[in-house]
Amino acid sequence: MTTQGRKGVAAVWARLLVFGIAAVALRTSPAIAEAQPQASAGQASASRIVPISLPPAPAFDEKPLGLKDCRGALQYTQNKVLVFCHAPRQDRRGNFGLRLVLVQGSAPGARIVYSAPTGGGDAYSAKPTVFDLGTPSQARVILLDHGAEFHYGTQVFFIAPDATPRLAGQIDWFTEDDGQLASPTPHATLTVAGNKILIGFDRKLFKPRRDGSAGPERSVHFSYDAAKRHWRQF
Amino acid sequence: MTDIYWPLQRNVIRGRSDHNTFGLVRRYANGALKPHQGWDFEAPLQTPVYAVAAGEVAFVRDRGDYGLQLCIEFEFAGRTLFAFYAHLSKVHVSEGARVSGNELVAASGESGNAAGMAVADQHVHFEIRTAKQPRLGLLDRVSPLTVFGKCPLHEAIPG
Repeated sequence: MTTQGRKGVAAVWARLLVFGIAAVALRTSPAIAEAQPQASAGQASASRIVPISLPPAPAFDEKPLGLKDCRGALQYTQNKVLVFCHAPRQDRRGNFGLRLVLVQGSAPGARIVYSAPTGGGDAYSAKPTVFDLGTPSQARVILLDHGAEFHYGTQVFFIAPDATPRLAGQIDWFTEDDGQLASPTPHATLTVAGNKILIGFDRKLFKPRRDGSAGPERSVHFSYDAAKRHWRQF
Repeated sequence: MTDIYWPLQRNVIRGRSDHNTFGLVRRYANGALKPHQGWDFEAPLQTPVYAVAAGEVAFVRDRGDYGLQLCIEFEFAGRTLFAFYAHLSKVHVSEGARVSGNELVAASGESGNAAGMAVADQHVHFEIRTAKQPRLGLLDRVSPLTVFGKCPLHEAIPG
């Protein structure tokens, strides 16, 4: 075996060792403060999570809450509404646009329990895809697609019950549909492994260049560690 | 010289904002520039929409973020161009039909990604394309200024 070959084998063993330690660490990690995104009882570990549909919340009233131009109000739970609005009190240059808002209760006692720290900029549509992670965490992951005439990007939210929702990360990768930048969300697969939510895609994605044309395609994956609140692209 | 007409009876850029004109004029929340491929004309739902020039209907379709779309092929200054209208609610002409300049061809709407916008933001997205099926971003598109000669950014222009 050549020196290069021996180095290669050593590197493989080193990787296996790291993965092994990580796997043991995941299995033996103590309970985390944030709800754990573990697979539900009936699901095999790392099984694919299928998006759920939330019913509309037609009675939602934005005015008493100081929100503007709300759209797509959905009944998130029995007493919470998920909606996408301009929040004039938060809107600043570089931090504006439709943002995810979670509202508890109904008028006149409704209150905003969460409003995303950043909005969708000049985008004028916000389309959520909601994944319910099931028991025991009861947490949900929302992929929020912002768009106008074409897709602008996807915000990823992690929402555990009785915890402040989190903007976990941003997916600024795209696919193409009918000559336009399109969302990769319809091609996303979401799985849970230990504390980690893994997001993959059934096709290669690209980042647009400055003029909007397609850059090189790549296989991209994302993970969110709910315990460490760590977002990673790989 | 081809006669050019405005697409609406009252033509003004949505919100009188340069973010709704052509070019690298839009921003994502992190400040990154994004292209806008045409002009957004303010148009409450069901506003009549007219052909900007005499030509032939290249396609009518309802798909994706643009929603209901109309594309008219026409000649301008020795070039073949395509007038593209999106987010429509109704199209009155069919693919392959000849249209006259200023002919009523469609009604504005909120199809595609424009659903549920506030009345002040309802609009017709309008592009001038140099190809029937353009590439991504600003490729195969030119500013509508090329054919109209002026942009109704601050004041409405009657059609």
